[in-house]
Amino acid sequence: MSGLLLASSPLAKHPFKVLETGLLIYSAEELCYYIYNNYYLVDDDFVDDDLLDFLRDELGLSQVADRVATVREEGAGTHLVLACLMREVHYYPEASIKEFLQKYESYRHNSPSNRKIIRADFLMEKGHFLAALRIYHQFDSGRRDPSLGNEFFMRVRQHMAVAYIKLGLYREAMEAFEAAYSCKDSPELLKQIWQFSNFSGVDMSPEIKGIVTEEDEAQWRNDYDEVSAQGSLLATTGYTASMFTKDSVRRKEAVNRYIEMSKKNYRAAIV
Amino acid sequence: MSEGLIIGFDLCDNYTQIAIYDEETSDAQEIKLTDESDEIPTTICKVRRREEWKIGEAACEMALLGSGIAVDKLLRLVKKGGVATLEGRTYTAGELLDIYIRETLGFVTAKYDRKIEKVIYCVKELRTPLADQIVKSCEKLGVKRENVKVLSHTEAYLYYLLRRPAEQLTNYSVLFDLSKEGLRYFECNILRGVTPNVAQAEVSDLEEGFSLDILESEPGRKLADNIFSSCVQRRFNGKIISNVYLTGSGLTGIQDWGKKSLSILCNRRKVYLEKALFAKGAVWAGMGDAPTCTFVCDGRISASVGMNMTVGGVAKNITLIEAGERWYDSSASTEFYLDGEDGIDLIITPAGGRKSAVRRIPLSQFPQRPAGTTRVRLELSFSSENELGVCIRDMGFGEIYPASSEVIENRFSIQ
Repeated sequence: MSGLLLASSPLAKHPFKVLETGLLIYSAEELCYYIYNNYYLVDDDFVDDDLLDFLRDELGLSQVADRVATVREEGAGTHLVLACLMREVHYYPEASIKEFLQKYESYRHNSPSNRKIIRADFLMEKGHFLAALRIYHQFDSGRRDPSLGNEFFMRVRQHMAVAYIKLGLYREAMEAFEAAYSCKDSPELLKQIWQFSNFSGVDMSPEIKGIVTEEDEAQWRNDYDEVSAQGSLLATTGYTASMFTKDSVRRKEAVNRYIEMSKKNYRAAIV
Repeated sequence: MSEGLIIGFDLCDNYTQIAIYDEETSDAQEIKLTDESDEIPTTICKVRRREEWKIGEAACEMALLGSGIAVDKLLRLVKKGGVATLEGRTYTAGELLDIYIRETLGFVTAKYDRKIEKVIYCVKELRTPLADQIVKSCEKLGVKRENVKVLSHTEAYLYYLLRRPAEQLTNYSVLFDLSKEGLRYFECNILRGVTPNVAQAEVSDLEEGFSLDILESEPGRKLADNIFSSCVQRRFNGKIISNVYLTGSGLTGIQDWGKKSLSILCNRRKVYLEKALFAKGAVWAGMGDAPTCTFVCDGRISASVGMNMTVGGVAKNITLIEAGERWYDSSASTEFYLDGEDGIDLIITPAGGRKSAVRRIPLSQFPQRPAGTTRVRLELSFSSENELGVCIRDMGFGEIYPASSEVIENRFSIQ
């Protein structure tokens, strides 16, 4: 294979928007890359009529769209539809497509609830906090599945709290932390709640305050001071911290990019 | 019958000749531009104290009488980007050429009372500022870009030749052009063993200084015959030449001054005296149905430019620019992804399929990204038949890896 891949089409004038993340896609190659690297976010209905219209009308890839549509109409599984799309675009070699299919299949073997939390965690990792929160909240609505266990729900709420922190919503974060603790008494979690309260200035509820002993508090304060000294809690993310190490022009660019990123996040979450 | 006129111009610094396509004879026909001649000086003259312009002989006469101010060597002025000040107002060379083209085209359309369908200019040497200006001047008159062409004299000669009967195209066909621009020799050979056929032509300025003024006196004419005949002998030495074409105002009366030359020229060869040959060639270029042939001459790209790329999962060599295309109208662009590459290789193959050369352009200043996530736009353009301009732009990878503003520009010879 040569080291240059001819683009399958010109870039789309009107991009395709991925609802989950708000990402705008301008080419079939970007689409394949997104699927390959974000398969946790690719649902059964990802390849829908809108996507096929995008391939057909915006990218002029009617042949690709028709083949994918045929596979989909034949009732093939999502993995086969995605594989067909990737094979038609020729962005990834066959070996990579097979590797993708293995990973995708193994992900799909998880229970629906596990898939949901994997997806939400993945969104968190990619910085889509509101989109992640939307999924975490789904565990709160409706009947709770008892088979998932308290540990699972504690983790969900703990992650919700982190998402709220990332968004600067400290009161909501505290509520999520305390709800997590209500699922399972965990000394480690209690320590996190105390540290968060110290860092954010948001008071713990009297119930939680009552649980914390003086000894614990002394030990945690010691640990907190050490961490504070390293400044890790002050920098909300690596990106925001790095913004302030740049010169004035680049800092302005970085801040604008950060604001854009946050706006996009927000837009994605409210879709 | 075509709706409008197909007009061919031979536009030089010293003279202008014009031909049109004549539907009645189905041939290109020169236009008489004055009572006595089918050429006029490329001179423009502004009538004093009036916004009125004269061209050609009328311009020269007016300047001699002192009732106007003349500007000549218009093309040289355009190439230099010069200006001329007439009655206190400064005109750019472009503005003067606009007027000259407006007046000449106006003359032709008025003469035939028909609008312009296509206009093709041929010039001694096809270079960017002049060709651009000619196109702009025509566009200002409402002629669409696609209906304007600018050729070199050599291309016009090839277009002319390819319209000749097949028996006139065997072996070498040569052309002598003696005009106010000097004496030039064109040599054409058509290679029929390749598909498509290749029409090769070369032009050379003959070293003998040959001014048309020497034809004014008897001793001068004798000298001219001696110079020209020795020139012909030298050029014909050892070559099988079947057809000889003569053109230019200097050779129109060769029967009167060139007996010695003609005896050599006509020795077992056919000799054709053709008026306004380049203007007629330009007309044929405008007809657009010339026999399929790759031109290898000045004005045409001397080598193909291609790249190795994966297309639809298959490694291929794709040609971006074909040898033989007109450099002035040729450009190409393509978009591709860098799959672990930090540079691109352009494959340069000279016309006739001789050995290719590879020119690598490093892309080290592009941002480092994972393999396959840098989309690149490559644009190729020419500033002469041998000089390739390359512009490579980082297009990023959508919102996943936004484009940087990095652009790499390069210019090199493909000879």
